[in-house]
Amino acid sequence: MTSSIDLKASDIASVARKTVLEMSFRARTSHIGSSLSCIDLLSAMYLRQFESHELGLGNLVIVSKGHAASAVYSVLNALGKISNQDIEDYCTDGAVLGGHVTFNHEYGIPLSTGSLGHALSFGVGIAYAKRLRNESGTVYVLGSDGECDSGAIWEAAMLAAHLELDNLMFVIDRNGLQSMKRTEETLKLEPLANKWKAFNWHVIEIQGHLHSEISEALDFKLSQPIVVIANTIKGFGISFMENSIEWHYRSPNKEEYLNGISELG
Amino acid sequence: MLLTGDLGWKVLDSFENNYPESYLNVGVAEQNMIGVAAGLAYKDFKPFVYSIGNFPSFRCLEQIRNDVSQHKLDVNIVSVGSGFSYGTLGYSHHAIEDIAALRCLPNIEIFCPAVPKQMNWVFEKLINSRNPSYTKIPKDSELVIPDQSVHQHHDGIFQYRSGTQIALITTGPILKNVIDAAEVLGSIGYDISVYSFAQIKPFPDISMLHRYSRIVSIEEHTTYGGFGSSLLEAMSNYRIYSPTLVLGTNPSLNNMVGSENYLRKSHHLDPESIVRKITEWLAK
Repeated sequence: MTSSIDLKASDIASVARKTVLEMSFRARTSHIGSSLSCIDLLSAMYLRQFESHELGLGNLVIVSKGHAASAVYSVLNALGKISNQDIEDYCTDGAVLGGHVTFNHEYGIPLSTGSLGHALSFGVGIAYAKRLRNESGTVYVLGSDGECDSGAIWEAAMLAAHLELDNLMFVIDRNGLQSMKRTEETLKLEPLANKWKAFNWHVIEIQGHLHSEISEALDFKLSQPIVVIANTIKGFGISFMENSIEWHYRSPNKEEYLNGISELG
Repeated sequence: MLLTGDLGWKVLDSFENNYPESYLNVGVAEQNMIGVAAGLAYKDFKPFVYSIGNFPSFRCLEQIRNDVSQHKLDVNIVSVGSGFSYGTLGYSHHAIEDIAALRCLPNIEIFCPAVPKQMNWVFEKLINSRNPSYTKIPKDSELVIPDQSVHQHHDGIFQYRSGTQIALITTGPILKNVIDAAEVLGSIGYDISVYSFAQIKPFPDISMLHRYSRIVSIEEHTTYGGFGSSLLEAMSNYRIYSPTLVLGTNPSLNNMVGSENYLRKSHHLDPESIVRKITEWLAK
């Protein structure tokens, strides 16, 4: 039986997918494939951030994969946090919401990102601070698989494990593609799970579009940091965008936009 | 909080022992160190980030730029071993370009105290400010300038000699060589003031330099974009048009190793060379 949070996450994701398509079409921006692969993950993560606030707990989402900005904003919009006007103004002159995740205190976005490999360190700092203050809650950091090319990720990974940060979770959007080719043709990540285990993280591998699996992973607790390797599809939800490098860069034209909208229902 | 990148042997021991909850060695990982410091500052801690030479600047410059500077987080970077303090250890450890690299980043305040008295002033500023900062300090605090010779102006400007004709303006521990050079210049008839700036950014009000007919800037740092460059920019803003000589390190000598004094001499930053450069320039 699907839990209520999973239903909610799934609904949020459905709405957000359409918004991402609209934003990409209207603003003629890149990275739609990257955004579509992590909408299900972000929906579940942000639900936990905002519901935890209401309960006086302190879950926090930080997005290291900054180029998935449209996914972040769409999910926050579907949750009623970001205004429709700001969504419409995305990437226009003087916009509050930029093409990479843009810091916004009111919208619950703690850090501007855009250069890969930064936010896991930031998350380590916050998780450590929360522990020093005996604060509850989990710090969720969303990253990409390509981002694991970056040394800074592994610096953060080592410290998190050394400090036994049990309130930190790194969720990897493993869509298998990066800028030029597949990850395995660029800089072999596999065996990725083994790498994280070797760094003393607990590894959970999931299907990144299945909300029951996402929930189970996000709610898992241990006495060490946890990495969730979420197997996803770049461009998920729009058939002609799936598994394509091209849709890392392109924005849809009018016909593609209409086809996408009809596919998303 | 005090973070270190695996440096500070025998220096940080008492802090670690007395305040273990406030101390964290992140290992040889400066990029991560800055990111972690940013996260701590986001949670309203006030992290000091300790390392030496170029490690807490060049190694993690993007983290300083994107995470700290952009978000105006209260991260306070301290780099020990300014200039040629670690001279024998080679170019990797010569901190002679860090001011230039950091000066262009928004929101970061930059300090370069020469002596403990200046460091005390800087520390008060750091404690009372919520802005990100970068402070470079000498390795040894052996440099002692008699306190009675100091007149303290606004914004970390310390005056060590009072004259009316030529102002020698410097930052950091090269101050000793500047004071010695000023002595020699004074003895051959020049009327010299010596100022040491403990604060480089925001660059202080320098209206008082209007009275000088000639100005010389001396830094143990490249002249490309460093202290002298800041001074020239400020002089333009304050409409001070006195002819100005900028002395600093010589980039073509970056393969040299040796003691601090040897390297300073090689870069013409010893007192005799400073005197010679100034007198030759004045004669033109």
